[in-house]
Amino acid sequence: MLQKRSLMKVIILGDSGVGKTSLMNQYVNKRFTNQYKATIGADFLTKEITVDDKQVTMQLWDTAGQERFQSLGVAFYRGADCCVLVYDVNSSKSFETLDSWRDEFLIQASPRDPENFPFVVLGNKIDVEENKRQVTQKRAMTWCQSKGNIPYFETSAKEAINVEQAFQTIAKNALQQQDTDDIYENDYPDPITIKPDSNPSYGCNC
Amino acid sequence: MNRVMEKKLSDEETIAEGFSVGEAVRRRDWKLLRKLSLRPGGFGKERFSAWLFLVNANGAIDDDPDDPKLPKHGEAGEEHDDDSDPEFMHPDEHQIRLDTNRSFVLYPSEEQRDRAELQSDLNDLITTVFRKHPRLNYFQGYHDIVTVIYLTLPEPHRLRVCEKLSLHRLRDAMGTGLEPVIAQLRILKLLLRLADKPFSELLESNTPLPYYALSNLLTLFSHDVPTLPLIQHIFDYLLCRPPIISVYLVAAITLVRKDEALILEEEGEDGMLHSLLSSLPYFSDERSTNISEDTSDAEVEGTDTILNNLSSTGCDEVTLENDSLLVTATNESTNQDTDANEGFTEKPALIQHSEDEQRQCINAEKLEVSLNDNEDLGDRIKVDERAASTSPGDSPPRAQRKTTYLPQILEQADELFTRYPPTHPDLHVSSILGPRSVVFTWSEIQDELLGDEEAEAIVSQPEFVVLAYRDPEETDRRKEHDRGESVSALKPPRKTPLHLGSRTLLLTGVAVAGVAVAVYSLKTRGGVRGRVDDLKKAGQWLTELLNTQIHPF
Repeated sequence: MLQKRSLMKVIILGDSGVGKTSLMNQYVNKRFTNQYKATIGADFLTKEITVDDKQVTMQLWDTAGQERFQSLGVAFYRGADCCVLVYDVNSSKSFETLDSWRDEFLIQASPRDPENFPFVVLGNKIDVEENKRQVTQKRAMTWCQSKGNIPYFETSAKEAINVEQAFQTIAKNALQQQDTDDIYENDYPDPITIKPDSNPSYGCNC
Repeated sequence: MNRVMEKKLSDEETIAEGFSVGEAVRRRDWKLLRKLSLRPGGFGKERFSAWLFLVNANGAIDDDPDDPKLPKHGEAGEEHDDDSDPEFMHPDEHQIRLDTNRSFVLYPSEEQRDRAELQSDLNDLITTVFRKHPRLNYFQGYHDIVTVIYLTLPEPHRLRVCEKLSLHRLRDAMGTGLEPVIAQLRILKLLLRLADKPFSELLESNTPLPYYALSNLLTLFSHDVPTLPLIQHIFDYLLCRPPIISVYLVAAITLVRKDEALILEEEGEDGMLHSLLSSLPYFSDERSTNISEDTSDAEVEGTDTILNNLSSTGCDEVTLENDSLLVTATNESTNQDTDANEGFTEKPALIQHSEDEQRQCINAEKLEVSLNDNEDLGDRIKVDERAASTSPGDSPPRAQRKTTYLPQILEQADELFTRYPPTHPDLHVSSILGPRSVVFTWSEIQDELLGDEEAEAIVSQPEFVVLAYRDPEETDRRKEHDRGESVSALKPPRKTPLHLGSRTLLLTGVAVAGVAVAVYSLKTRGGVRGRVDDLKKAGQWLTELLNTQIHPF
């Protein structure tokens, strides 16, 4: 007996090399390797999860960090339920570009209610020694507050610190976003039926 | 064993009129090289001289190692290890470093311990190209292409080959934006419509442009092909053909995955098409009849198997299948110690022969006969479609882990090119790409190539590289469904209008009789560049195009 599941689409953005692919793989496949290739274009992994007693398929879109690939956003961002902004706590530059990643996402995804669209910010690579750190937690949290209280997590994809917690929040916020959208859009057809599968299924790990 | 192999190879050369790659190069015979590139293993040991010839890099090497512009060797993996004058640094060097630090992931496996050193060398090589040609822009994936050059050619020739390749073949992608590769996606879409209309409709219902092909088009397949010998063979094939051949090869690879795509659709998983098609099938460079039955997986059929396939293609799980039982080996399998087949000795072909598949094999044999008999290509394509399609009444062809014979795919790309050449009116190549695109400036005749300086200057004239082309079918469909351009995410896209980025300005470019109004979207603020002399150039280009047959065969 097939069971209907809903699907949520999550987009992971941030500068090149901040660990987007690693975070996604740590969450979906529970592993880390320093042998990921640079991502070209975009690809996704999916994971079956349960949020608030609802079974959901989470589709995580990993994107290339180089600026020229941002123009693909129109194709890949639309229909997103949550956007994850990732920076490297050891790189000020990767933090400072969060503004433009956020703006560009809102322009290209054109969500119905940009003011309340859910973002989550992840400060990654906290496993690196403390004296290399360039962005303080306070600075990051101040920025997140100024953008409408975006949830903030400090993570290490390498050591699996806070990754599960962060993605649980991402899932909850994405689901909430879907519920909000459903109020607007009752004319949506039912979600497409997906075969139940207890294992995470994935596209490409690169 | 090597002698046996040489004998075997020389037998196959009779197909190519008994000439070796070296002789073909000496005779400057592109046509012969194209034939030789189709052999299993491609150019093999003669690759080096062939590549130098094909990218026109035979000249003397006159680079000054003490040139202050060039990077100084530094410690691997560290940023700012280069004490060169910042004045000469290219703005993309940070990105280059980020990517070279993530290079040599798939190969060469036997040199893992030297990975940091290889990465440092690769970084120096790429940085040198950009410091010598500062107007070129780096794109992520360029480092994958240069990795292949680096591992194939000896040190003194690498730089020259990278420069020539960049200026005359990769140049379109080395401007500031992705527009040229998007233009190639448009041509690919039109090509797929010509080659297999029903299948193209399925693909287009999933994504209005074949974004899954982006990485393969940008990186000449080097990002995802899992072994060095395979990607070297693909480069052999590409380099002796015009730059647009990549589009035909992607199309051939897309068409060969039709069965798998149909299974996904049947199972309601068409949202996974992007992942299926952006990965590559298992290529083999020997016509292997090895049959392996993975008994543990035999019961697990359908999408799951395909998904497993996906996960191991081009990724670090590529060796997961090694434990499988090799059931049958034929005399063919004794050839595995050649250079060309390196990598496949470790990974036996995994084939589950379903009835459908066997039927297809038989059909494939028939097809070959018909090709050899020079029958009408149209018949062949028709049969091909019949062989590949599955009627709803049949039991679905499940759990296919078939190995795709690389030379056959390459031949299929050639056939697509012959049947639907770039001059085919329905491909609209001259309405999509501008006169300064490599598609039009590249030539196999050395004297017709642009000078290096002139070629480099073109990257600052993007409006002559890509034209604005509106696909009438795409526009109609958008009006009907108001569906925007999103890649299917297993649910309908939001019903909101397409929103153009604030940075995107539509600028009117050239307008020439017979060509759609040329509009180019520039990210930067700039003026309309429709200068009179440019208009003249465009007009001249159009005349040339009408008088020129682009046909490599």
